[in-house]
Amino acid sequence: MTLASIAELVAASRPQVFTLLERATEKITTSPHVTHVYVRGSLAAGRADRMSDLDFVAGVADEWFEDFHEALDTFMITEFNAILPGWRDTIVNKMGGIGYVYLVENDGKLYQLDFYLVPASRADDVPTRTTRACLLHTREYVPACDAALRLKVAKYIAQTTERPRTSAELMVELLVLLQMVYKRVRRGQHFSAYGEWVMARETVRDLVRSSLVPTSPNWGWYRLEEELATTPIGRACGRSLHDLLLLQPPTNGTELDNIVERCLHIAEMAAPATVAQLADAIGSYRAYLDLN
Amino acid sequence: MLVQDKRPAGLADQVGRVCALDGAVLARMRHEALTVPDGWVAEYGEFQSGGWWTLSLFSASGDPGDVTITDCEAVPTSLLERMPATRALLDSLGLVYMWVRLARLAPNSFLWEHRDYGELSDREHHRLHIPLQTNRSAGLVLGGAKVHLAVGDLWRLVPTNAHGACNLLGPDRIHLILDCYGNDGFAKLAGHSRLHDGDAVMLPSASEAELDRHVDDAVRLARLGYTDTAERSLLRLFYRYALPEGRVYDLLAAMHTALARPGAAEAWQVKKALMLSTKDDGGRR
Repeated sequence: MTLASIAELVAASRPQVFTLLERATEKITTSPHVTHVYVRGSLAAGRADRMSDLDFVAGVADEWFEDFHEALDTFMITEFNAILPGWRDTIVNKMGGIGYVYLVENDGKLYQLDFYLVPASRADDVPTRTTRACLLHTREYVPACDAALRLKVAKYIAQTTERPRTSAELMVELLVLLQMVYKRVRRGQHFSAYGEWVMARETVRDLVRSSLVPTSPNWGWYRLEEELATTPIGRACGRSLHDLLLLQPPTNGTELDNIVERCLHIAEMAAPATVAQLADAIGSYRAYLDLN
Repeated sequence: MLVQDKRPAGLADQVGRVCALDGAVLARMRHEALTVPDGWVAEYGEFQSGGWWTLSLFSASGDPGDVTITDCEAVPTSLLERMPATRALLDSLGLVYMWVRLARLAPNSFLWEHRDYGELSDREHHRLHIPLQTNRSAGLVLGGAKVHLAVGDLWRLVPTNAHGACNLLGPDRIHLILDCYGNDGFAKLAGHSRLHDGDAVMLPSASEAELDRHVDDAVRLARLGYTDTAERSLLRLFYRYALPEGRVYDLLAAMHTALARPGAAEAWQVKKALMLSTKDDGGRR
Protein backbone atom coordinates (compact mmCIF):
# COMPACT_ATOMS: atom_id res chain seq x y z
CA MET A 1 0.00 0.00 0.00
CA THR A 2 1.39 3.37 -0.99
CA LEU A 3 1.33 6.52 1.10
CA ALA A 4 -1.12 8.04 -1.32
CA SER A 5 -3.57 5.22 -0.65
CA ILE A 6 -3.26 5.66 3.11
CA ALA A 7 -4.03 9.34 2.71
CA GLU A 8 -7.15 8.44 0.76
CA LEU A 9 -8.22 6.06 3.50
CA VAL A 10 -7.67 8.71 6.13
CA ALA A 11 -9.70 11.21 4.14
CA ALA A 12 -12.52 8.71 3.63
CA SER A 13 -12.63 7.86 7.33
CA ARG A 14 -12.45 11.42 8.51
CA PRO A 15 -15.11 12.23 11.13
CA GLN A 16 -17.96 14.32 9.74
CA VAL A 17 -17.21 17.01 12.30
CA PHE A 18 -14.29 18.11 10.13
CA THR A 19 -16.63 18.59 7.17
CA LEU A 20 -18.80 20.69 9.43
CA LEU A 21 -15.70 22.60 10.54
CA GLU A 22 -14.75 23.39 6.94
CA ARG A 23 -18.26 24.45 6.01
CA ALA A 24 -18.67 26.58 9.12
CA THR A 25 -15.30 28.28 8.73
CA GLU A 26 -15.96 29.06 5.09
CA LYS A 27 -19.37 30.51 5.87
CA ILE A 28 -18.44 32.49 8.95
CA THR A 29 -15.46 34.11 7.25
CA THR A 30 -17.66 35.38 4.42
CA SER A 31 -18.20 38.43 6.58
CA PRO A 32 -15.50 41.10 6.24
CA HIS A 33 -16.14 42.02 9.87
CA VAL A 34 -14.98 38.64 11.22
CA THR A 35 -11.33 39.26 12.04
CA HIS A 36 -10.33 35.99 13.74
CA VAL A 37 -11.58 32.43 13.79
CA TYR A 38 -10.16 29.99 16.31
CA VAL A 39 -11.07 26.40 16.93
CA ARG A 40 -10.72 25.14 20.49
CA GLY A 41 -11.27 21.96 22.41
CA SER A 42 -10.67 18.43 21.20
CA LEU A 43 -10.32 19.44 17.54
CA ALA A 44 -7.49 21.81 18.43
CA ALA A 45 -5.93 19.26 20.78
CA GLY A 46 -5.93 16.44 18.22
CA ARG A 47 -8.34 14.32 20.28
CA ALA A 48 -11.44 14.62 18.11
CA ASP A 49 -13.70 11.63 17.56
CA ARG A 50 -17.00 11.12 15.76
CA MET A 51 -18.96 12.64 18.61
CA SER A 52 -16.76 15.67 19.14
CA ASP A 53 -18.36 19.04 19.26
CA LEU A 54 -17.14 22.04 17.36
CA ASP A 55 -15.74 24.86 19.48
CA PHE A 56 -15.43 28.12 17.57
CA VAL A 57 -14.26 31.50 18.71
CA ALA A 58 -14.97 34.32 16.27
CA GLY A 59 -13.46 37.76 16.65
CA VAL A 60 -15.81 40.42 15.32
CA ALA A 61 -14.92 44.05 14.66
CA ASP A 62 -15.93 45.98 17.78
CA GLU A 63 -18.19 48.35 15.86
CA TRP A 64 -20.11 45.35 14.46
CA PHE A 65 -20.14 43.20 17.59
CA GLU A 66 -23.63 44.07 18.78
CA ASP A 67 -25.17 43.55 15.33
CA PHE A 68 -23.42 40.22 14.94
CA HIS A 69 -24.63 39.09 18.34
CA GLU A 70 -28.22 40.10 17.58
CA ALA A 71 -28.10 38.18 14.27
CA LEU A 72 -26.39 35.06 15.60
CA ASP A 73 -29.46 32.88 16.26
CA THR A 74 -30.94 33.64 12.83
CA PHE A 75 -27.56 32.95 11.25
CA MET A 76 -27.17 29.59 12.98
CA ILE A 77 -30.76 28.44 12.35
CA THR A 78 -30.76 29.53 8.71
CA GLU A 79 -27.25 28.44 7.73
CA PHE A 80 -26.34 25.60 10.04
CA ASN A 81 -29.61 23.80 10.69
CA ALA A 82 -29.62 24.68 14.38
CA ILE A 83 -32.75 23.05 15.74
CA LEU A 84 -33.00 25.43 18.71
CA PRO A 85 -31.90 28.96 19.55
CA GLY A 86 -28.51 29.09 21.24
CA TRP A 87 -27.99 28.30 24.89
CA ARG A 88 -26.01 31.07 26.54
CA ASP A 89 -22.98 29.10 27.66
CA THR A 90 -22.32 29.54 31.36
CA ILE A 91 -19.51 26.97 31.65
CA VAL A 92 -17.15 28.14 28.92
CA ASN A 93 -13.87 29.89 29.70
CA LYS A 94 -14.24 33.64 30.04
CA MET A 95 -12.47 35.10 27.03
CA GLY A 96 -13.97 38.57 27.03
CA GLY A 97 -17.06 37.85 24.96
CA ILE A 98 -20.27 35.80 24.93
CA GLY A 99 -20.63 32.11 24.12
CA TYR A 100 -23.54 30.08 22.89
CA VAL A 101 -24.11 26.38 22.38
CA TYR A 102 -26.14 25.22 19.40
CA LEU A 103 -27.39 21.78 18.41
CA VAL A 104 -27.02 21.56 14.65
CA GLU A 105 -28.00 18.86 12.22
CA ASN A 106 -25.31 17.58 9.89
CA ASP A 107 -25.51 14.46 7.77
CA GLY A 108 -28.53 13.22 9.69
CA LYS A 109 -26.94 13.56 13.12
CA LEU A 110 -26.99 16.16 15.85
CA TYR A 111 -23.74 17.95 16.64
CA GLN A 112 -22.94 20.44 19.33
CA LEU A 113 -21.47 23.67 17.94
CA ASP A 114 -20.12 26.11 20.51
CA PHE A 115 -19.88 29.63 19.13
CA TYR A 116 -18.02 32.18 21.20
CA LEU A 117 -18.11 35.79 20.02
CA VAL A 118 -15.36 38.12 21.15
CA PRO A 119 -14.70 41.74 20.15
CA ALA A 120 -11.77 41.95 17.74
CA SER A 121 -9.98 44.26 20.17
CA ARG A 122 -9.69 41.29 22.55
CA ALA A 123 -9.37 38.47 20.03
CA ASP A 124 -5.58 38.28 20.09
CA ASP A 125 -5.77 37.35 23.79
CA VAL A 126 -7.96 34.28 23.23
CA PRO A 127 -5.09 31.74 23.21
CA THR A 128 -3.96 32.97 26.62
CA ARG A 129 -7.44 32.47 28.07
CA THR A 130 -8.11 28.94 26.99
CA THR A 131 -6.29 25.63 27.12
CA ARG A 132 -5.65 25.29 23.42
CA ALA A 133 -6.77 27.31 20.43
CA CYS A 134 -5.79 27.01 16.81
CA LEU A 135 -6.09 30.09 14.66
CA LEU A 136 -7.85 29.16 11.43
CA HIS A 137 -8.42 32.58 9.96
CA THR A 138 -7.34 36.10 10.48
CA ARG A 139 -8.07 39.26 8.60
CA GLU A 140 -6.18 42.48 8.73
CA TYR A 141 -8.10 44.64 11.13
CA VAL A 142 -7.42 48.26 11.85
CA PRO A 143 -9.49 49.05 14.88
CA ALA A 144 -11.74 51.98 14.18
CA CYS A 145 -12.62 51.83 17.82
CA ASP A 146 -11.64 53.94 20.70
CA ALA A 147 -11.86 53.53 24.44
CA ALA A 148 -15.48 54.67 24.49
CA LEU A 149 -16.47 52.00 21.97
CA ARG A 150 -14.59 49.30 23.85
CA LEU A 151 -16.38 50.32 27.01
CA LYS A 152 -19.74 50.29 25.23
CA VAL A 153 -19.12 46.78 23.91
CA ALA A 154 -17.92 45.57 27.31
CA LYS A 155 -21.05 46.98 28.93
CA TYR A 156 -23.23 45.30 26.30
CA ILE A 157 -21.51 41.98 26.96
CA ALA A 158 -21.92 42.35 30.72
CA GLN A 159 -25.62 43.22 30.42
CA THR A 160 -26.22 40.28 28.10
CA THR A 161 -24.43 37.74 30.27
CA GLU A 162 -26.05 38.97 33.48
CA ARG A 163 -29.62 39.04 32.15
CA PRO A 164 -31.84 36.39 33.80
CA ARG A 165 -32.68 33.48 31.54
CA THR A 166 -36.21 33.16 30.19
CA SER A 167 -38.12 29.88 30.47
CA ALA A 168 -37.47 29.23 26.77
CA GLU A 169 -33.74 29.73 27.34
CA LEU A 170 -33.83 27.37 30.31
CA MET A 171 -35.59 24.73 28.20
CA VAL A 172 -32.92 25.04 25.53
CA GLU A 173 -30.24 24.79 28.24
CA LEU A 174 -31.86 21.63 29.56
CA LEU A 175 -32.01 19.99 26.14
CA VAL A 176 -28.39 20.89 25.39
CA LEU A 177 -27.19 19.55 28.74
CA LEU A 178 -29.10 16.29 28.32
CA GLN A 179 -27.53 15.90 24.89
CA MET A 180 -24.12 16.44 26.48
CA VAL A 181 -24.92 13.79 29.09
CA TYR A 182 -25.94 11.45 26.29
CA LYS A 183 -22.64 11.99 24.51
CA ARG A 184 -20.61 11.38 27.67
CA VAL A 185 -22.48 8.18 28.41
CA ARG A 186 -21.85 6.87 24.91
CA ARG A 187 -18.15 7.63 25.31
CA GLY A 188 -17.99 6.03 28.74
CA GLN A 189 -17.04 9.35 30.35
CA HIS A 190 -19.10 8.70 33.44
CA PHE A 191 -17.53 11.38 35.64
CA SER A 192 -18.24 14.10 33.09
CA ALA A 193 -21.71 12.65 32.54
CA TYR A 194 -22.34 12.94 36.26
CA GLY A 195 -21.23 16.58 36.32
CA GLU A 196 -23.48 17.53 33.43
CA TRP A 197 -26.35 15.51 34.92
CA VAL A 198 -26.09 17.62 38.07
CA MET A 199 -26.23 20.76 35.95
CA ALA A 200 -29.26 19.46 34.03
CA ARG A 201 -31.20 18.88 37.23
CA GLU A 202 -30.32 22.35 38.45
CA THR A 203 -31.66 23.71 35.17
CA VAL A 204 -34.95 21.88 35.74
CA ARG A 205 -35.01 23.42 39.22
CA ASP A 206 -34.39 26.90 37.78
CA LEU A 207 -37.11 26.40 35.18
CA VAL A 208 -39.59 25.37 37.89
CA ARG A 209 -38.63 28.22 40.19
CA SER A 210 -38.63 30.94 37.52
CA SER A 211 -41.94 29.71 36.08
CA LEU A 212 -43.90 29.02 39.28
CA VAL A 213 -42.35 31.41 41.82
CA PRO A 214 -40.88 34.14 39.65
CA THR A 215 -40.77 36.70 42.47
CA SER A 216 -38.90 34.45 44.88
CA PRO A 217 -35.97 36.20 46.60
CA ASN A 218 -34.24 32.83 47.00
CA TRP A 219 -32.00 30.96 44.65
CA GLY A 220 -30.60 27.48 44.23
CA TRP A 221 -32.37 24.80 46.26
CA TYR A 222 -32.97 27.06 49.27
CA ARG A 223 -36.59 27.01 50.49
CA LEU A 224 -37.82 25.60 47.17
CA GLU A 225 -40.09 23.00 48.82
CA GLU A 226 -41.84 25.68 50.86
CA GLU A 227 -42.32 27.98 47.89
CA LEU A 228 -43.74 25.22 45.68
CA ALA A 229 -46.02 23.86 48.39
CA THR A 230 -48.56 26.67 48.09
CA THR A 231 -50.35 25.30 44.99
CA PRO A 232 -51.26 21.85 43.57
CA ILE A 233 -49.15 22.44 40.45
CA GLY A 234 -46.23 23.51 42.63
CA ARG A 235 -46.55 20.44 44.83
CA ALA A 236 -46.75 18.14 41.80
CA CYS A 237 -43.61 19.74 40.34
CA GLY A 238 -41.91 19.46 43.71
CA ARG A 239 -42.63 15.74 43.95
CA SER A 240 -41.46 15.07 40.40
CA LEU A 241 -38.33 17.14 40.94
CA HIS A 242 -37.59 15.20 44.11
CA ASP A 243 -37.96 11.91 42.19
CA LEU A 244 -35.58 13.26 39.55
CA LEU A 245 -32.95 13.93 42.19
CA LEU A 246 -33.03 10.29 43.22
CA LEU A 247 -32.17 9.05 39.72
CA GLN A 248 -28.65 7.97 38.90
CA PRO A 249 -26.98 9.40 35.79
CA PRO A 250 -28.02 7.41 32.71
CA THR A 251 -25.74 4.66 31.51
CA ASN A 252 -27.58 3.80 28.30
CA GLY A 253 -30.14 5.08 25.82
CA THR A 254 -33.14 3.62 27.62
CA GLU A 255 -32.22 5.31 30.90
CA LEU A 256 -31.55 8.56 29.07
CA ASP A 257 -34.95 8.32 27.40
CA ASN A 258 -36.57 7.89 30.80
CA ILE A 259 -34.74 10.93 32.14
CA VAL A 260 -35.66 13.09 29.14
CA GLU A 261 -39.28 12.04 29.54
CA ARG A 262 -39.30 12.96 33.24
CA CYS A 263 -37.62 16.31 32.62
CA LEU A 264 -40.11 17.19 29.89
CA HIS A 265 -42.99 16.16 32.13
CA ILE A 266 -41.82 18.56 34.83
CA ALA A 267 -41.21 21.30 32.26
CA GLU A 268 -44.68 20.81 30.86
CA MET A 269 -46.23 21.21 34.33
CA ALA A 270 -44.17 24.30 35.10
CA ALA A 271 -44.08 26.05 31.73
CA PRO A 272 -46.62 24.49 29.36
CA ALA A 273 -46.62 27.37 26.89
CA THR A 274 -42.84 27.21 26.53
CA VAL A 275 -42.87 23.46 25.97
CA ALA A 276 -45.67 23.85 23.39
CA GLN A 277 -43.66 26.55 21.61
CA LEU A 278 -40.71 24.16 21.34
CA ALA A 279 -42.78 21.05 20.58
CA ASP A 280 -41.53 20.57 17.02
CA ALA A 281 -37.91 21.12 18.06
CA ILE A 282 -38.26 18.65 20.93
CA GLY A 283 -39.74 16.10 18.51
CA SER A 284 -36.82 16.48 16.13
CA TYR A 285 -34.34 16.41 19.04
CA ARG A 286 -35.75 13.09 20.23
CA ALA A 287 -35.66 11.67 16.70
CA TYR A 288 -32.00 12.62 16.25
CA LEU A 289 -31.06 11.10 19.62
CA ASP A 290 -33.13 8.03 18.77
CA LEU A 291 -35.25 8.41 21.88
CA ASN A 292 -38.75 6.90 21.89
CA MET B 1 -46.73 30.56 16.82
CA LEU B 2 -50.48 30.19 16.84
CA VAL B 3 -51.55 26.60 17.26
CA GLN B 4 -55.25 26.85 16.66
CA ASP B 5 -56.87 24.65 14.09
CA LYS B 6 -59.51 26.71 12.39
CA ARG B 7 -59.34 25.44 8.90
CA PRO B 8 -60.59 27.92 6.33
CA ALA B 9 -63.36 26.77 4.09
CA GLY B 10 -61.88 24.98 1.07
CA LEU B 11 -58.53 23.99 2.60
CA ALA B 12 -59.52 20.32 2.58
CA ASP B 13 -60.27 20.71 -1.14
CA GLN B 14 -56.67 21.85 -1.68
CA VAL B 15 -54.96 19.24 0.48
CA GLY B 16 -56.27 16.36 2.53
CA ARG B 17 -56.30 12.71 3.41
CA VAL B 18 -57.83 10.42 0.85
CA CYS B 19 -57.62 6.95 2.37
CA ALA B 20 -55.70 5.03 5.00
CA LEU B 21 -52.86 2.74 3.93
CA ASP B 22 -51.80 -0.49 5.57
CA GLY B 23 -49.18 0.16 8.25
CA ALA B 24 -47.19 -2.97 7.57
CA VAL B 25 -47.03 -2.18 3.84
CA LEU B 26 -45.90 1.37 4.58
CA ALA B 27 -43.20 0.07 6.93
CA ARG B 28 -41.89 -2.17 4.16
CA MET B 29 -42.01 0.70 1.65
CA ARG B 30 -40.16 2.95 4.09
CA HIS B 31 -37.49 0.29 4.49
CA GLU B 32 -37.10 0.13 0.70
CA ALA B 33 -36.94 3.91 0.39
CA LEU B 34 -34.25 4.15 3.07
CA THR B 35 -32.09 1.30 1.79
CA VAL B 36 -32.45 0.88 -1.96
CA PRO B 37 -32.03 4.23 -3.72
CA ASP B 38 -28.75 5.89 -4.46
CA GLY B 39 -27.77 8.61 -6.93
CA TRP B 40 -30.41 11.06 -5.75
CA VAL B 41 -30.88 13.94 -8.19
CA ALA B 42 -31.16 17.62 -7.35
CA GLU B 43 -33.51 19.21 -9.87
CA TYR B 44 -35.66 22.36 -10.12
CA GLY B 45 -32.89 24.40 -8.60
CA GLU B 46 -34.74 27.69 -9.03
CA PHE B 47 -37.59 26.49 -6.87
CA GLN B 48 -35.78 25.05 -3.91
CA SER B 49 -33.27 25.93 -1.23
CA GLY B 50 -31.06 22.94 -1.92
CA GLY B 51 -31.74 19.77 0.05
CA TRP B 52 -34.59 18.50 -2.14
CA TRP B 53 -33.64 15.30 -3.93
CA THR B 54 -35.68 13.04 -6.16
CA LEU B 55 -35.55 9.76 -8.05
CA SER B 56 -38.20 8.50 -10.44
CA LEU B 57 -40.13 5.27 -10.01
CA PHE B 58 -42.27 5.85 -13.09
CA SER B 59 -40.90 8.07 -15.84
CA ALA B 60 -40.96 8.58 -19.59
CA SER B 61 -37.64 6.83 -20.12
CA GLY B 62 -37.48 4.24 -17.35
CA ASP B 63 -34.36 5.95 -16.02
CA PRO B 64 -34.69 6.80 -12.32
CA GLY B 65 -32.43 9.82 -12.80
CA ASP B 66 -34.89 11.34 -15.24
CA VAL B 67 -36.79 13.52 -12.77
CA THR B 68 -38.12 16.45 -14.81
CA ILE B 69 -41.81 15.69 -15.06
CA THR B 70 -43.69 15.97 -18.30
CA ASP B 71 -46.75 14.45 -19.92
CA CYS B 72 -45.97 10.91 -21.04
CA GLU B 73 -47.01 7.27 -20.97
CA ALA B 74 -44.89 6.48 -17.94
CA VAL B 75 -43.03 3.20 -17.52
CA PRO B 76 -41.55 1.67 -14.36
CA THR B 77 -37.93 2.58 -13.81
CA SER B 78 -35.06 0.27 -12.97
CA LEU B 79 -35.22 1.59 -9.40
CA LEU B 80 -38.83 0.47 -8.96
CA GLU B 81 -37.84 -3.04 -10.04
CA ARG B 82 -35.77 -3.21 -6.84
CA MET B 83 -38.62 -2.00 -4.62
CA PRO B 84 -41.25 -4.77 -4.77
CA ALA B 85 -43.43 -3.59 -1.90
CA THR B 86 -43.62 -0.12 -3.39
CA ARG B 87 -44.32 -1.56 -6.83
CA ALA B 88 -47.14 -3.70 -5.47
CA LEU B 89 -48.76 -0.75 -3.72
CA LEU B 90 -48.52 1.48 -6.78
CA ASP B 91 -49.95 -1.24 -9.01
CA SER B 92 -52.86 -1.77 -6.65
CA LEU B 93 -54.16 1.79 -6.72
CA GLY B 94 -55.77 1.58 -10.18
CA LEU B 95 -54.23 4.84 -11.36
CA VAL B 96 -52.75 5.95 -14.67
CA TYR B 97 -49.37 7.41 -13.81
CA MET B 98 -47.80 10.35 -15.58
CA TRP B 99 -44.80 10.31 -13.27
CA VAL B 100 -43.97 8.89 -9.84
CA ARG B 101 -41.05 10.14 -7.80
CA LEU B 102 -39.41 9.38 -4.50
CA ALA B 103 -38.64 12.73 -2.91
CA ARG B 104 -36.31 13.41 -0.01
CA LEU B 105 -36.43 16.80 1.70
CA ALA B 106 -33.47 17.28 4.03
CA PRO B 107 -33.56 19.23 7.30
CA ASN B 108 -33.69 23.03 6.96
CA SER B 109 -34.74 22.65 3.32
CA PHE B 110 -37.57 24.19 1.39
CA LEU B 111 -39.53 24.29 -1.82
CA TRP B 112 -40.26 27.98 -2.06
CA GLU B 113 -43.78 29.32 -2.70
CA HIS B 114 -44.76 28.24 -6.22
CA ARG B 115 -47.41 26.70 -8.46
CA ASP B 116 -47.11 23.42 -10.40
CA TYR B 117 -48.33 21.96 -13.69
CA GLY B 118 -47.95 25.16 -15.64
CA GLU B 119 -45.97 23.43 -18.38
CA LEU B 120 -48.26 20.41 -18.79
CA SER B 121 -51.01 19.68 -21.31
CA ASP B 122 -54.73 20.20 -20.86
CA ARG B 123 -55.24 16.62 -19.72
CA GLU B 124 -56.72 16.19 -16.27
CA HIS B 125 -53.76 15.94 -13.84
CA HIS B 126 -53.78 15.02 -10.16
CA ARG B 127 -51.12 14.79 -7.45
CA LEU B 128 -51.05 12.35 -4.56
CA HIS B 129 -48.50 12.04 -1.75
CA ILE B 130 -47.58 8.97 0.27
CA PRO B 131 -45.52 10.07 3.27
CA LEU B 132 -43.03 7.38 4.26
CA GLN B 133 -40.93 9.26 6.83
CA THR B 134 -41.63 12.65 8.30
CA ASN B 135 -41.52 14.83 11.41
CA ARG B 136 -43.79 17.49 12.84
CA SER B 137 -41.68 20.38 11.57
CA ALA B 138 -42.30 19.25 7.97
CA GLY B 139 -45.37 20.42 6.12
CA LEU B 140 -47.01 22.07 3.16
CA VAL B 141 -47.95 25.70 3.52
CA LEU B 142 -50.91 26.93 1.56
CA GLY B 143 -53.93 29.11 2.12
CA GLY B 144 -52.40 30.58 5.27
CA ALA B 145 -52.12 27.18 6.92
CA LYS B 146 -49.34 24.71 7.55
CA VAL B 147 -50.50 21.15 6.91
CA HIS B 148 -48.47 18.25 8.22
CA LEU B 149 -48.86 15.19 5.97
CA ALA B 150 -48.71 12.37 8.48
CA VAL B 151 -47.59 8.87 7.65
CA GLY B 152 -50.43 6.40 7.36
CA ASP B 153 -52.63 7.91 4.68
CA LEU B 154 -52.67 8.65 0.99
CA TRP B 155 -52.88 12.42 0.61
CA ARG B 156 -54.09 14.58 -2.25
CA LEU B 157 -52.68 18.01 -3.09
CA VAL B 158 -53.97 20.38 -5.75
CA PRO B 159 -50.59 21.82 -6.74
CA THR B 160 -51.91 24.47 -9.10
CA ASN B 161 -52.65 26.53 -5.98
CA ALA B 162 -49.71 28.51 -4.61
CA HIS B 163 -47.95 26.40 -2.01
CA GLY B 164 -44.56 25.65 -0.49
CA ALA B 165 -42.98 22.71 1.29
CA CYS B 166 -40.73 22.82 4.32
CA ASN B 167 -38.73 20.57 6.57
CA LEU B 168 -37.65 23.04 9.22
CA LEU B 169 -35.78 20.82 11.67
CA GLY B 170 -35.54 17.28 10.31
CA PRO B 171 -34.84 14.41 10.17
CA ASP B 172 -35.33 13.77 6.43
CA ARG B 173 -38.86 13.88 5.05
CA ILE B 174 -39.40 11.17 2.43
CA HIS B 175 -42.55 11.10 0.29
CA LEU B 176 -43.74 9.26 -2.79
CA ILE B 177 -45.17 11.84 -5.17
CA LEU B 178 -47.66 10.39 -7.63
CA ASP B 179 -48.66 12.54 -10.60
CA CYS B 180 -51.48 10.81 -12.42
CA TYR B 181 -54.18 11.37 -15.01
CA GLY B 182 -57.84 11.45 -14.24
CA ASN B 183 -59.61 8.10 -14.60
CA ASP B 184 -62.31 6.10 -12.90
CA GLY B 185 -59.73 4.66 -10.52
CA PHE B 186 -58.72 8.11 -9.33
CA ALA B 187 -62.31 9.28 -9.00
CA LYS B 188 -63.16 6.23 -6.91
CA LEU B 189 -60.01 6.44 -4.78
CA ALA B 190 -59.50 10.10 -4.29
CA GLY B 191 -62.67 11.89 -5.13
CA HIS B 192 -63.00 13.32 -1.64
CA SER B 193 -60.28 14.48 0.72
CA ARG B 194 -60.57 15.54 4.34
CA LEU B 195 -58.46 16.90 7.14
CA HIS B 196 -58.36 15.54 10.66
CA ASP B 197 -58.19 17.76 13.72
CA GLY B 198 -54.60 18.78 14.16
CA ASP B 199 -53.57 18.21 10.53
CA ALA B 200 -53.65 21.92 9.74
CA VAL B 201 -52.36 24.77 11.87
CA MET B 202 -53.40 28.26 10.88
CA LEU B 203 -50.38 30.45 10.66
CA PRO B 204 -50.55 33.81 12.41
CA SER B 205 -50.84 37.00 10.45
CA ALA B 206 -47.95 39.42 10.52
CA SER B 207 -48.40 43.14 10.93
CA GLU B 208 -46.54 45.49 8.64
CA ALA B 209 -44.43 46.51 11.63
CA GLU B 210 -43.42 42.90 12.22
CA LEU B 211 -42.55 42.42 8.57
CA ASP B 212 -40.55 45.65 8.60
CA ARG B 213 -38.64 44.34 11.59
CA HIS B 214 -37.82 41.13 9.73
CA VAL B 215 -36.62 43.12 6.74
CA ASP B 216 -34.47 45.23 9.06
CA ASP B 217 -32.98 42.05 10.57
CA ALA B 218 -32.25 40.75 7.08
CA VAL B 219 -30.63 44.05 6.09
CA ARG B 220 -28.42 43.75 9.18
CA LEU B 221 -27.37 40.24 8.17
CA ALA B 222 -26.63 41.43 4.64
CA ARG B 223 -24.54 44.34 5.94
CA LEU B 224 -22.59 41.87 8.05
CA GLY B 225 -21.72 40.16 4.78
CA TYR B 226 -24.26 37.33 4.82
CA THR B 227 -26.58 38.26 1.95
CA ASP B 228 -27.55 34.67 1.12
CA THR B 229 -28.43 34.06 4.75
CA ALA B 230 -30.46 37.24 4.81
CA GLU B 231 -32.43 36.16 1.76
CA ARG B 232 -33.13 32.73 3.18
CA SER B 233 -34.27 34.22 6.47
CA LEU B 234 -36.93 36.19 4.60
CA LEU B 235 -37.95 33.28 2.38
CA ARG B 236 -38.55 31.24 5.53
CA LEU B 237 -41.20 33.71 6.64
CA PHE B 238 -43.62 32.04 4.22
CA TYR B 239 -43.61 29.05 6.58
CA ARG B 240 -44.08 31.15 9.68
CA TYR B 241 -46.83 33.63 8.83
CA ALA B 242 -50.00 33.64 6.75
CA LEU B 243 -48.86 36.00 4.01
CA PRO B 244 -50.63 37.15 0.86
CA GLU B 245 -49.51 35.33 -2.25
CA GLY B 246 -46.05 36.44 -3.33
CA ARG B 247 -45.56 38.78 -0.37
CA VAL B 248 -42.34 37.09 0.71
CA TYR B 249 -40.76 37.93 -2.65
CA ASP B 250 -41.80 41.55 -2.13
CA LEU B 251 -39.93 41.51 1.19
CA LEU B 252 -36.80 40.33 -0.58
CA ALA B 253 -37.10 43.14 -3.06
CA ALA B 254 -37.59 45.57 -0.16
CA MET B 255 -34.43 44.28 1.52
CA HIS B 256 -32.34 44.88 -1.57
CA THR B 257 -33.93 48.29 -2.08
CA ALA B 258 -32.89 49.20 1.48
CA LEU B 259 -29.37 48.03 0.61
CA ALA B 260 -29.41 50.22 -2.51
CA ARG B 261 -29.20 47.18 -4.79
CA PRO B 262 -31.93 47.88 -7.38
CA GLY B 263 -30.74 45.13 -9.71
CA ALA B 264 -31.18 42.47 -7.04
CA ALA B 265 -34.56 43.93 -6.07
CA GLU B 266 -35.75 43.68 -9.65
CA ALA B 267 -34.41 40.13 -9.93
CA TRP B 268 -36.63 39.06 -7.03
CA GLN B 269 -39.69 40.55 -8.69
CA VAL B 270 -38.84 38.58 -11.83
CA LYS B 271 -38.43 35.47 -9.72
CA LYS B 272 -41.82 36.08 -8.12
CA ALA B 273 -43.43 36.04 -11.55
CA LEU B 274 -41.62 32.82 -12.44
CA MET B 275 -42.50 31.01 -9.22
CA LEU B 276 -46.17 32.00 -9.22
CA SER B 277 -46.78 31.90 -12.93
CA THR B 278 -50.10 30.66 -14.24
CA LYS B 279 -50.51 27.74 -16.62
CA ASP B 280 -50.04 30.02 -19.61
CA ASP B 281 -46.61 31.16 -18.50
CA GLY B 282 -45.15 27.92 -17.12
CA GLY B 283 -44.12 26.84 -13.64
CA ARG B 284 -42.96 23.43 -12.85
CA ARG B 285 -41.92 20.79 -10.47
